[in-house]
Amino acid sequence: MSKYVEYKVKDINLAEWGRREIKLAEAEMPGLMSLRKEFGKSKPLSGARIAGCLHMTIQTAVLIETLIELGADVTWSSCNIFSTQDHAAAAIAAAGIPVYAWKGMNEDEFDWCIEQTLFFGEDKKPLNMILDDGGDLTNMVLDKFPELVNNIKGLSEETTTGVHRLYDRVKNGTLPLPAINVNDSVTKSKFDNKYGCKESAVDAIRRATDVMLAGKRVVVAGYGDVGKGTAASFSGAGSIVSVTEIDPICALQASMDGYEVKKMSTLIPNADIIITTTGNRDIVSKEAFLAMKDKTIVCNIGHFDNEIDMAWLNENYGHSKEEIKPQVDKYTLENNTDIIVLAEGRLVNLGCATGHPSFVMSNSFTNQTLAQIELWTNSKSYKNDVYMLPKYLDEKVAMLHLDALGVELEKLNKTQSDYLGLKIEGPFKPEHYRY
Amino acid sequence: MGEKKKNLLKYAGDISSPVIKQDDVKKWESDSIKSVNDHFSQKFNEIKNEYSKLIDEFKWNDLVYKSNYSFKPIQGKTYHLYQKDDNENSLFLSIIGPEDWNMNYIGSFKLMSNNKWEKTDE
Repeated sequence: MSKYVEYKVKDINLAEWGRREIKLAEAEMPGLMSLRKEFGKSKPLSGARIAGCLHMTIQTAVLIETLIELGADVTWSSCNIFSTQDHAAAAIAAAGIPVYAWKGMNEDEFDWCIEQTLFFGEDKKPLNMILDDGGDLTNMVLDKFPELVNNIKGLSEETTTGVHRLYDRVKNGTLPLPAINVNDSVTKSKFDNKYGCKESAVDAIRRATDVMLAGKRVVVAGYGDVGKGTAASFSGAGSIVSVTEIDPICALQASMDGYEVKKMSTLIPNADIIITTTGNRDIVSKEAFLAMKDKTIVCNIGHFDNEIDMAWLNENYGHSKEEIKPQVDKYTLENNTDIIVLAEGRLVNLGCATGHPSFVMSNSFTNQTLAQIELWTNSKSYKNDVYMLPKYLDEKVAMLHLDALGVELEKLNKTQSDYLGLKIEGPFKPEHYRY
Repeated sequence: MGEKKKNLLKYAGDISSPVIKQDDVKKWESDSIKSVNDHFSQKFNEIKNEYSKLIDEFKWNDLVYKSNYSFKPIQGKTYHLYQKDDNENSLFLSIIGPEDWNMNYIGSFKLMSNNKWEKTDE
């Protein structure tokens, strides 16, 4: 085993800048800060060694320091090779927290970084909790270090893609530990995915290209939560938004929200911007590239770069690739059509902008923290399966954010609560309610 | 043929003449040529070394600049060059040191203030 590396970041001198932004973000993350107040003394995560693999941003820094405040030891890597904010990583490293993340790493370095997080300190104590986003850390532990699994009490997973991988494992009988699906908490997917992308999708395109969005034809592939937020983002900027879908329910939603829903092949020739949000592969294929008009902007706000067939593009037109500026590449196809690809097909809102705003991330990270507490303190009540956080905790996450927005909440009286058959303090909706 | 002109003789032609010794021009010439040759040879070697150092530096810089990396290197910091496989396109620059992982290590380079990569042989 190689020697212990305390941390690896791009430039530790960025720490002071990172710390200033973390302080600013704390004010916008009321959920996490409330948990620090509530559990800062009792330290329910004492003894937990949490390895985290999630975009190393300023907001994540607030999550990391919340987990530590609650008693955990934490190591961290980023779940995307381009998503790290180097000043955030530097501030975390300077605070003595082992972090292995920098913007613009390659895939070997990505694996190396995750591997560093599995063992804590000079004495290399192994992790006993996983906090993951996309499943790369989980897969590394389960597939390459299965001997570590017995020590691990559970894992919490942040995104749709990672959750799919977990359910696949349940189906195949290869999930050897309990997992909490944070992604599908209402206060996560409906807020982070929807309202987060609503803010950051357009921000990314503007920062990367400075292109005028009003009047432009935008194709949003997928109308799940990310797709809904992304479509709203462009719609708000005055773009003419069209949607592609495979799911009739989402297609009907998109249509009744006022978007044209067509096949990709129908929409491509007139599209100015194509953005994928599906979590599936091969959404923008060879045929789509060849049908695009000159200067079409192509990007992805889903999880992996295989939503756009970058492999085909690089193999066939890699020689024509010209870097306009970092994260903005121009490919010239045979018919002299230029295609502008953002963030190499990876997450455009993180590669070209600064990701979701702190407030919306506070929702999902408060869920993550509650999931970690639940799995660490109560692991015996969970089998090797994928669970959701109970409804009352989902409602608690929302509750912790209301004060900051000046929300006044009505309260049920006894007669009303009896009438509805609900407890006065909630939960207010049945599990199957879809919001 | 008439008598040799005494005033052109390289030796004393009269009993009363002073001793005439010729300067050893050949020796001086040979010494001087050697000396100047040594000088040129030395200078040539110096330039050759400098040239070969320059070519070396040029080649390393070319290699580093053409390697794969997606981050903006910082002046004054040292980075490490690796080659993943036999293909020269697999060269990449990393902040991970050679002692931290098992990767085919080529060399370490410090980015100088003039944006020149200086090999540090770390």
